[in-house]
Parts: sequence; structure tokens; C-alpha cells
Amino acid sequence: MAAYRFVPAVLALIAIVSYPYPFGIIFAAISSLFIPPLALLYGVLFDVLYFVPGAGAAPLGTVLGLLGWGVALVVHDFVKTRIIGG
Amino acid sequence: MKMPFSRTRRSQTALLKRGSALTIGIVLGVVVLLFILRTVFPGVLTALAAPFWSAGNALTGGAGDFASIFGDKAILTQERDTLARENASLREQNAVLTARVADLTQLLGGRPEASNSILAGVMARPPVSPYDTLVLDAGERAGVRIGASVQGAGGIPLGTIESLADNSSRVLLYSAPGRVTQGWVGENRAPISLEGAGAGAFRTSVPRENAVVVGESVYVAGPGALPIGTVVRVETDPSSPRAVVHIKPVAHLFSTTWVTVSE
Repeated sequence: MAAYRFVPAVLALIAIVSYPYPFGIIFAAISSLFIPPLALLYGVLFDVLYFVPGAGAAPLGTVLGLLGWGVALVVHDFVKTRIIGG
Repeated sequence: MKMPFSRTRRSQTALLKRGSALTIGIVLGVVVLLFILRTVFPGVLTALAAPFWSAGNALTGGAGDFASIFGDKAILTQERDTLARENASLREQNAVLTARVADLTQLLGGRPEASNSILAGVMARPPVSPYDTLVLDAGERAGVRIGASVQGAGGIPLGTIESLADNSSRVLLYSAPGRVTQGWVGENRAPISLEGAGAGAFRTSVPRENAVVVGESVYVAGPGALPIGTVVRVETDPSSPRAVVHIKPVAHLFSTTWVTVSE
């Protein structure tokens, strides 16, 4: 696996704990295009660090992470098929 | 000639599939580990994230100082003079109010018991935190308890402790979306239900005849009525008997660095 795939993953990790959350979401979305399950991982990380009971009906990070994983899988497969199909 | 190519291709695909399965396995393993850590050892992740939160805070402060280099000196001087005048006026006003409080305390009797507030540093706050929560560096060991009330500078109420670890705690702000807090608006202290709108803001709806106006203060219950925000917009609709009131917080959440926690 090429090293460049891990750059957005590391940036997402740093952004989640150091920068306003939209940056974390953007980097998490980009990194999940290379490694789809990372969407769930970062969603869970958001919830583990910041969610408390009463902050919402459901831990949104995990829910959005699952959705993001699904979307990233579709996009990932689509891009791979297009590249292989030429 | 085709056989080796096909075989290579097949083995490549198998390798890729194995790699994907391994990645998914590792990521899911980490997800499960995170859940376990949060449930069994809630302080571990906070402790791991603490240096990054501190670095982020320092970076934000540094960026602010760096940006000030480019400010127009004349405007800055003017701003400083205005602030100095305002400061002098507030100091006088404060002296008058302090004297009045002392007189009233003497007249009505004071509260002899000392307040047992705990000072706590804020490690993470909105907008780093996507929910309206604060992460504090004081936890159970410092005497913080679930449900304790958290105040910002000047005793402005911010929220309550909702999650606790040995050396850290999480505060759910009154402004968290959907959170409802009872309060009052205006000099007449008309009762209202404040609904959190995120990022420190609130909204509420009041009967139109209440005639809430922009600039009025909003209070919540504490020791007495504590100011929590100011009315910034009142939306009325001729077809509705109620007006929607938008409230701006008194405390600037994005730059809150210290808070006090009290029972």
C-alpha cells in the first residue's frame, strides 16, 4: 500500500484533537476514500473523545462514520473499477 | 503465454482481497478497543489526547498573536484608548456595585460558608469538539461530581458535568442542541424555556405580548439569577401568537480556558 494513502489518515487524526471539527471531518472523508473503514474509526474517535449522554439522541460520529464507510466503499469500488476498466 | 499472466493477475487479486480484509480487521479491532477504553478506562484516551489539545490551544494563541502584527497601528491605538476609557468607567461602576453589595450584605446578613468551587482548565472546547461539550483537566480525584454546575469567568453558567474520569471530566453545555434549560428574560424576569442552538447560542419562543426586545439579558437559576446571554434577534410572524427569540451567549466559549466547578 502506497505511503501517500496514510497522509490524510494522519492529518485526520491530528485534526480531530487539535483543529475545529470540520477539518477532522474533511480529512476523515479524504482518508476513507483510500481506506474505507477509517470513516468509522474516526467517527468513533470523535464520540469517544467528545460525546456525552445528553449531547444528542445518538452518537452522531459513529452513525455518520458507518454511513461514510458505506459511501467510501461505493466510491472506492467505483474508482477502482474505472481505473482497471480503463 | 496467457497462463502466467492470468495466474499473476489472480494471485494479485487474492493478495488485494487479503490486504483489504486485514485492514478492515485492524480498523474494527481499534474501534472495539476504543469502545472498551471509553467504558472501562475513561481517562486513558483523554490522557493520550491531552498533549495534542494543549498543542492545539498553544497554536491557536500563537496564530492570534501573529495575526495582530498585521493590524493597523492607528486603529489598534484607537481601540486601546476606547478600551482604556471603558475599563476606567467599568472600574468605577464596579466600585459602586461592590460598595452596594457590601451594604446589602451587612443589612441582610451574609453567607458565612466558604464556596467549595474547583478550578479546572479547559483542554478541548467547541469548535474542536463537535458536540457542545468541554473537556476539563479535573476529574473525580479533584472532587468533581456528575451533575455539578460549571461556570465561566465572572460566574457565568456554562453547563453541567455529564461524564467523569479520574483526572478529567466532560461538560455538557446548556447550549447543546436540543438541551432545554429554564430561565428568565428581561428586567421583569419573564420565565422562558431556553433551547440550546449549538456553539453557545440559544433560542426560545415567547408570547408576542411579552414584548421581548433586542439587548435584554437572559438569566438562568443559580445563586440568584445568573446572566447567560443577550437577546440579539426577535422574529415575529403576524400569523403566529408567539415570537422566536435568538440569544447570544455572554461567555465566549471558543476562548474559554478556565472554569470553576461547584456542586
